[in-house]
Amino acid sequence: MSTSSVAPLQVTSLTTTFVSRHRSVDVVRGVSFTLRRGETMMLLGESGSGKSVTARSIMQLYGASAKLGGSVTMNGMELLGMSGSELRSLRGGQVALIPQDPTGALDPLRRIGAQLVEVLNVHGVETTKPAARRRAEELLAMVGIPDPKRVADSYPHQLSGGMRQRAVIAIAVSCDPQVLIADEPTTALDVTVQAQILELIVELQQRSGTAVLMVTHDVGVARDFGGRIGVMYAGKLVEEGPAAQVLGDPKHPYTAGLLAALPTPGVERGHLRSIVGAPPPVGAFPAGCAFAPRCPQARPSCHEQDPPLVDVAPDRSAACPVVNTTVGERAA
Amino acid sequence: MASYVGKRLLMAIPILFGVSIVIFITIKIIPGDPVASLLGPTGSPEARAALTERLGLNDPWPVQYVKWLGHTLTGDLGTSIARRSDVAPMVLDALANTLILSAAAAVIAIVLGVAVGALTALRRTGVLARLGNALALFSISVPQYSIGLLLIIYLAAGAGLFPVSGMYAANGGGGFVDLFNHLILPAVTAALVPAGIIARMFRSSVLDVMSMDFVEALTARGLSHRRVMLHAFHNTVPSLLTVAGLQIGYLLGGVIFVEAVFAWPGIGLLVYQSITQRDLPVIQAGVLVSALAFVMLNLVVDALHGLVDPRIRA
Amino acid sequence: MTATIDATTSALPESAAPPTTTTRRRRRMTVSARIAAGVVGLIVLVAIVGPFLVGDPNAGDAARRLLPVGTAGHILGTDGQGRDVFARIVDGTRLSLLAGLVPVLFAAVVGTALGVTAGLAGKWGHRSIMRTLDVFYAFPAVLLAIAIAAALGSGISNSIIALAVILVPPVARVAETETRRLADLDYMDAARASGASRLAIATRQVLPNVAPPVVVYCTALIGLSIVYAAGLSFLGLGVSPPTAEWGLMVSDHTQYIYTAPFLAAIPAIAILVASVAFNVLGDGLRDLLDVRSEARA
Ligand SMILES: Nc1ncnc2c1ncn2[C@@H]1O[C@H](COP(=O)(O)OP(=O)(O)O)[C@@H](O)[C@H]1O
Ligand code: SF4
Ligand SMILES: [Mg+2]
Repeated sequence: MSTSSVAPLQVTSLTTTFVSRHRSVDVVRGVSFTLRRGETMMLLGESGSGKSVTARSIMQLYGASAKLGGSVTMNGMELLGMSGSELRSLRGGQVALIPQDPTGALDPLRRIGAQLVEVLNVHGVETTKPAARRRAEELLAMVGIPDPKRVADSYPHQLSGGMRQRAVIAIAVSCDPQVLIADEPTTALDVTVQAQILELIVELQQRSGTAVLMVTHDVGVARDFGGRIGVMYAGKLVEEGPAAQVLGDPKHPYTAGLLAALPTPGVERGHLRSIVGAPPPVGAFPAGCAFAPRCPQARPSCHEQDPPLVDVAPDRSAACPVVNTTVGERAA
Repeated sequence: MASYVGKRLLMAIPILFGVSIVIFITIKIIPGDPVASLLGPTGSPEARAALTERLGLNDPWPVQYVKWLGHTLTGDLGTSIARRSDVAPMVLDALANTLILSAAAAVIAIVLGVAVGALTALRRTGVLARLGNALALFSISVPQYSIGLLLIIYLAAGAGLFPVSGMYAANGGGGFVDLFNHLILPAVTAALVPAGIIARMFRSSVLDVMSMDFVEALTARGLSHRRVMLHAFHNTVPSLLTVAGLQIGYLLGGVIFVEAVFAWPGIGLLVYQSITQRDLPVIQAGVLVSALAFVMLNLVVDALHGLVDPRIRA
Repeated sequence: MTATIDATTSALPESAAPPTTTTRRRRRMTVSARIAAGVVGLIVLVAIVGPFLVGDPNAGDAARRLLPVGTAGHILGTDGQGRDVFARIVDGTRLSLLAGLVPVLFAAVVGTALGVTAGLAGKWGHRSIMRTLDVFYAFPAVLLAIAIAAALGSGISNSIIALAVILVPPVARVAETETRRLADLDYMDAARASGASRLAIATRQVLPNVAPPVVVYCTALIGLSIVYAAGLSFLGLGVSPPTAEWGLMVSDHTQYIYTAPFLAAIPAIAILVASVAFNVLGDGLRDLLDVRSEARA
């Protein structure tokens, strides 16, 4: 595990608890994974499973409203408990975020170019206005915007959704981040534009060796992307491993359920709706395995003990003793 | 931008046309005989007939309206019944004084309203927030003339800090300092009500903006808290302008009480004095120029709105 | 479809039903709103029975002028003509309340009718109504009321007419906004498809949904209207002396500001309390009915 200490991003037993005056709720409950240079890690799960909260906790965007536990390191440096100014140079510099809705991610009253220039200045990438401006146009060209000069002089509302998301991506990659966190970057876009944006992210990743943490609830997107995958349920990873293996041969009933929900290829992409029942609401996770109320393989013991994530094959882990013993029994 | 302002200007024309009709109607609904009130009880029948003819009162209403509009557009606002002199110069002098008072009050109202609104939005709980909310509620419910009276009683009369009436001291006054001293009490009085409304509106607009996604997105870009807040406050400016624009209208109306209480020689005082004298030409002219000033100010606010918000310029 | 409107609406799935009746959260009034409701009730009670309980508000004793607050027999002291201030405040409640209330009632009826009509009318009907109302927004509202009241001559009915005129446009805007919002919803299409007449749609579908925001808005408007009405009297445009009315009392008491400074504050406080009570009640009703807040006039 000595190599992992210099991984661009290592998350260990991350917990996120939202605290308000009246109550506190655990939303992320011990998530661990390692993201290596140039690698992609996917977080897959139904909406509400805590994917976005995990992503934002890594960047510590919740401030005092959430209590974080565990450890998040970048190149071996601990992020949790960092000072404000250290965090600031990290955010947008070494780790950048592409949020779901590009409209909300841009200041509606500032031109695209000015927003790029501001980030470049703040992070000291370009210290003079003209140089920053030139760099801004280069970045816009790099994310596939055909007329970067015009777009730089445009306000967000003057651009199409796809162009806006490209601009957001340009801002995100402007300071050459080592880690790019994309939180469902295509959900708010037209289907035709979705593929282009995903291609762009892959292209940028290959060009600069950025590690990408990609959040999605879309199995189709996960399949296209490759890399590693972490399946999330009720604030925990229930299965983790190389995407091709996890999606080809799931070791956890929840993953299997997600895949079964997929319609036959060629038909419209399924959105993980056909597992019976609904995920438990935060603050009311059942004791034992959180998936037990919906799990077709559940046994009485599942309602008592919460199974830990354990290695089930080389490079793969899952949190279901029942399936893994059946797998083992079958093999024997 | 130019085309946006041009469009606004064009839209103001039918409004002004409507304003002129409303004013004309208020002239026409006056009960009683304008000729009798001008001539007094001693007028001979011949004089009455001559005056009726001269005033055009035999013409049908639409003709009277067009004539009246023609006079108004050429700056002839009629003759004051009580003072027997031209209304136009009187009203324009008064308008200038009212604008001085309103501008001072607007500045106070915006500064105070923004401060209280931001405070109550950013610190939602605690004594300060409660105090701010109470102040905002109090100031929109209180009769303006009574705030003026209280200020007179406690600051001017009681402590002798500020002069209680007029615009300049009668003897040896004049200069800017003198004007400022006379201005401060009426301006604060006039500002209190709009400040309360601006505070309430600004509070909800700050809360709106702070809950918008881009605040988080900007933090994720590595901007400092101060910079993020600058972006956020920038985004409250459009709605602030809208509210402030509305409140200018409130000010132009509300100053009548303030001017009456503080004897500030503006439109309000002029109209107030004319009420007791039943000097209707002055009242109508006063309301007309106030409405004109209001429409102009709204145009300016609209132009500023277009300047700060690219989304509405298109 | 041959069903009547009532049958149509009850048979609709939840999502197509008007949101004001299905998704509105039922909440309780805040403590302050309940207190405000109590104060409003008390004011109305005083307005009704008060004048029978106190002595002649115009009976003055020149020898007992400007007595301070707390004097035996004159809880709130006496005014410049030796009249009992408490009796005048109580007696004046009726007129002061009516002068504020009646214009709002008028504006509520006329404004709702105009707003709903504009909201349901075609493009040109909508435009002509709303553009006409826009003209009234070009005037500083109080000044327009003053101009109208001054033209009509002093007297409480003229002040009521003047205030009613300036309160109609904002109420109409609230009603129009709500009507347009409803008109965009599916269930209105369903009603139209069932062949209901415009009048039937307006009265059965639209009015019940437009009423809550209008009521909330008008409740707060009463607070404003009371202040305006008292203001007109203060300027000499409402009731004439010696009638007891709060605005007129402020104006009357102002002349003694240096000898009896607190005197002018008493009727002003009465105006303030009434106005705050209606404003807070309006806020409380808004929360209770979960109506989105609207800009004030
Ligand atoms: N700032 C917050 N405060 C409290 N609860 C939150 C906050 N953000 C998200 N949650 C809750 O955490 C849960 C997980 O949310 P999220 O991570 O956004 O899910 P997703 O997997 O769809 O991205 C949700 O139930 C949500 O209600
Ligand atoms: S532990 Fe039990 S309930 Fe949980 S996934 Fe495995 S079989 Fe299902
Ligand atoms: Mg999410």
